[in-house]
Amino acid sequence: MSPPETVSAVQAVPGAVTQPASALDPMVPRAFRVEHVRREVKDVFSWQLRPLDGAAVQIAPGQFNMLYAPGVGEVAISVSGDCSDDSALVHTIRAVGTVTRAMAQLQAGAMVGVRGPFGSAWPIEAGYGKDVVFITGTVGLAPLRPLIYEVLKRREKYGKVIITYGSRGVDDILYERDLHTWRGRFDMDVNVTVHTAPTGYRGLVGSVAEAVNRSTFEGGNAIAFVCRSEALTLAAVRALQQRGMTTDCMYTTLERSMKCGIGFCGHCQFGPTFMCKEGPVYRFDTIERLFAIREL
Amino acid sequence: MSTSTVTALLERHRFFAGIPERMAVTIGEFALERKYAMEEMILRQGEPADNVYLVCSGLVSVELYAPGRDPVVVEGLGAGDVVGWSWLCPPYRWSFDARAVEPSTLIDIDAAGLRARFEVDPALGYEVLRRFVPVMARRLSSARERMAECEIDRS
Repeated sequence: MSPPETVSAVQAVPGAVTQPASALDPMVPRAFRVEHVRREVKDVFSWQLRPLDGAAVQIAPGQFNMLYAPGVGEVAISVSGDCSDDSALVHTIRAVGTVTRAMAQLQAGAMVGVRGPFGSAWPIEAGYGKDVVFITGTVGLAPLRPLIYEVLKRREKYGKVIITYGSRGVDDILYERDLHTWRGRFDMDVNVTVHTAPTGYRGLVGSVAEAVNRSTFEGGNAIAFVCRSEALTLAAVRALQQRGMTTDCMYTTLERSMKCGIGFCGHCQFGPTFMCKEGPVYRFDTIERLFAIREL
Repeated sequence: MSTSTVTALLERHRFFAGIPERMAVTIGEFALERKYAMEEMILRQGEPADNVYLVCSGLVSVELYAPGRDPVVVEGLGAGDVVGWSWLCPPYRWSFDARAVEPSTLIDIDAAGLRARFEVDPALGYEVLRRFVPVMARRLSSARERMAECEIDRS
């Protein structure tokens, strides 16, 4: 069986990896051990995974792996750690379904399967010389964190670096320690906004789009990386457009029902594109029209 | 503070940027600068909405009072923002509390007086409403976005 053909109108991000780096059968999981479990916020945890075979792991910011809980099932989870560390993987998982709830029960030392990496990566070099704006909310920060790490390693190549992060409340801010560290730097702005807060709260309270309106960046010379649920991506896009950005400078992720990870099964098909192959990272202008098709 | 000084403050405020001088002078007649200490209440839910405030500096939280529990902050407003639009719609009563969470300087405008002036100066009324409608639209949009995010998170 060959992979379904895709229409070329929706293109993968230039230079992005779209095939598993492993020469092994991409449908065969590789054994990893859960080395460390970190409880992030309610229902969200991170795994540090180390391969049993000791071979290097390769993955780029934006890509995902299929994580397998033995006897339960598989889920697609983006990498959320530092991709320059080729000895281990970090994935942040929200316990919302049967598989992820089972994963939440696993302790350090447990064995899991990993297939991948799959999909396209964030185009790190496309932002050279520009202001870089990250827009995300709740667990959407996880797929962006590896990119933020990379951008900060090459900080001198970018203009302003701005993170706008939205959370429901003050108790479910993901990676609060990282956000504090980044906010403490003199070379980037971190705007954390919450939907509601207890009285006396002195941070931003409002929507992510409003926080974007308050940001200081050059809309005409900026690149934006947006990672929110599909329903909220457009609100971020509109806010960026009001700041003078065009959609060919915006990148986003689409993640729906990925199953095989290699464009065979069609579960993640979105119009002419397969999110697991051409995505999950897309330049927004290449998929913008798909957002207007309700049947998709 | 003199009327001309308040007028100058109004003209510098983001909300009234570019307003015709004649109108700024008229609004200035109804305005004064006020300083609020940290934790000082600016307005209270249910009370008559006879003032409107422009934040010049500091931080103001818009809060929902809920009997039997601590208030919930639903909006944070800073320099350049406007506090309150209940003064534009009957029954002219505040729907939320507003509190200074930092020492804050606000321009306090006598909204009841301004409303009466609109009746004899519709051009002024149009100019002010023209500036308020986008604020209302943005806040409605912000509220909807947050509602949607909460619903999506739940599912």
